[in-house]
Amino acid sequence: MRALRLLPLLALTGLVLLAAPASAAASSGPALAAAQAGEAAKIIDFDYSPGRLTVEAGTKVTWTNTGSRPHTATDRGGTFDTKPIAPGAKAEVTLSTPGIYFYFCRINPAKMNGVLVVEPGPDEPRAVRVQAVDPGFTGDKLRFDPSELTVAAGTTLLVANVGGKPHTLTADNGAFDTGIVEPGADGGRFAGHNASVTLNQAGTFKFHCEIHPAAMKGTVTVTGEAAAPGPAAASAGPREVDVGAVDFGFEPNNASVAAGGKVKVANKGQAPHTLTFDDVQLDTGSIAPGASAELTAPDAPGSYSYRCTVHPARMRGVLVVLGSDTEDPNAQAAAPPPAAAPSGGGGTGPGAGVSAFVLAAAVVAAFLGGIGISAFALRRRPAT
Amino acid sequence: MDLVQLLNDLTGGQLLLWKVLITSVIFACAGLQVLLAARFYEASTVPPISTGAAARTHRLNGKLTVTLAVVVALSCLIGPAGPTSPTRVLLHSVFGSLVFGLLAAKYTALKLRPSWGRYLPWIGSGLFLTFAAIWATSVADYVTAR
Repeated sequence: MRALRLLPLLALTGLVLLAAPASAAASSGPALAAAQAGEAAKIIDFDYSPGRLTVEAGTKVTWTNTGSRPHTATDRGGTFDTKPIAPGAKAEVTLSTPGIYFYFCRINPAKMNGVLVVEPGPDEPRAVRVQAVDPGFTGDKLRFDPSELTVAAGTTLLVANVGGKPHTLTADNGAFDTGIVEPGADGGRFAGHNASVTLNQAGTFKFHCEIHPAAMKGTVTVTGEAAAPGPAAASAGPREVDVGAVDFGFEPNNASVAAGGKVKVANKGQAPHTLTFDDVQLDTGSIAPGASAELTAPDAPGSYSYRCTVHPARMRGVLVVLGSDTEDPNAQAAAPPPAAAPSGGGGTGPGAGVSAFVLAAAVVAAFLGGIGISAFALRRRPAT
Repeated sequence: MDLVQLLNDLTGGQLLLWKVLITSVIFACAGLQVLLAARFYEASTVPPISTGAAARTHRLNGKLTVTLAVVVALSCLIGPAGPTSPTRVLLHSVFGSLVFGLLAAKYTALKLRPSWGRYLPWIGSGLFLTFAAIWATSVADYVTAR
């Protein structure tokens, strides 16, 4: 009978033990991811830290967004795009092609720029990246980066246009030619395009840009002998997009629409919500549960972040406004680019510290309360 | 003045996270309340303080706990909530209401109906268990769902 009086203590201990594995699992997630990461970088409002990162080919680079706005890490040459990373979340990209990567946030393209230098790993690289740089969006001078390189026969040159003008990479003797590689739409608000040529013939080849032949020149030395290539495509955006506001998120939270298109917002939750853009004056105002509202997307193509002003910490999204010939970054995810493999938007976990704190508080509470209740239960009543 | 916006600004856009932390603190305070009550009812010898000190600490800790609980409850009613499922929200609402029902019963026993005094330990224990249920239907869900 006395043992039965210990039931409250046992029940509380059971409650905490039941909650513990789940909490521990949630907190071990980010820790595990951190352990696997090759290189970690931070995103802050509005910069990357470090601004220049050097890694070896095959390294997984993890960006953690420590800011309060969603951001992306997007290759200016169009080979990777993390998609918007929510505040507190992470995204990873594994880079296998050596070269220099100018990357940016496509939501804040003027403010946020970084450089990734991928150095060759122990194995002979099968592809090497060459950037076509111009003053367009990066404010640099016209050049190939690098302009002098030595590769083994059979290596693919991945030519990425990271500027604001069209370029080619053409052998002086006509042995290879990428054709025109288009820049990012709207002067660099979007990622540029890339093309590739495979160098099978040994020898030293001078190359140039057909559009800027005086300024953009270089030399590639091909050693040994060797084998084949493959580039990318375009799309027009839908005139209308439906965004659902649920408790507590937007569905989808990454949508695309043509410039000036309609954004229909339906509140499918039980709480009032808004869809309010961060950087442009567009706001649905409060939408009651079951009601809907409509906005006209901005005319200027670009990526625009928005939030619900009632639940700004939980409800965020990014609308991509597409120009007439802009490639849709949301559609791009279906066909991963050849040089890099973006993986996952990352969990929006509260962090190991918070999980540990709430778990510790629960254990303390269960311990103290359990002793108290058990003491009352076991108390000897005075004889009456 | 948009109160939710104000709270969000005060917490740097992390209102929900702060609610989770404060709810955990409330749960721990509730556990301490029961232990202190057991001490001044002389049902327990821990913590090793006098019954008078235990009673004073109990009152002070109680005021703090209720204040924090009111703040969190208010922000639950007007502000953001966590990952939702109908059953969890329903249970959380029931337990949240029960806390204030039990608090009302406790004050009635203390101030209006002294004869109910013998039920106070059980009302207090019930309060603690209700706080545990609130924690389980909010914080545990928040941590595991993300």
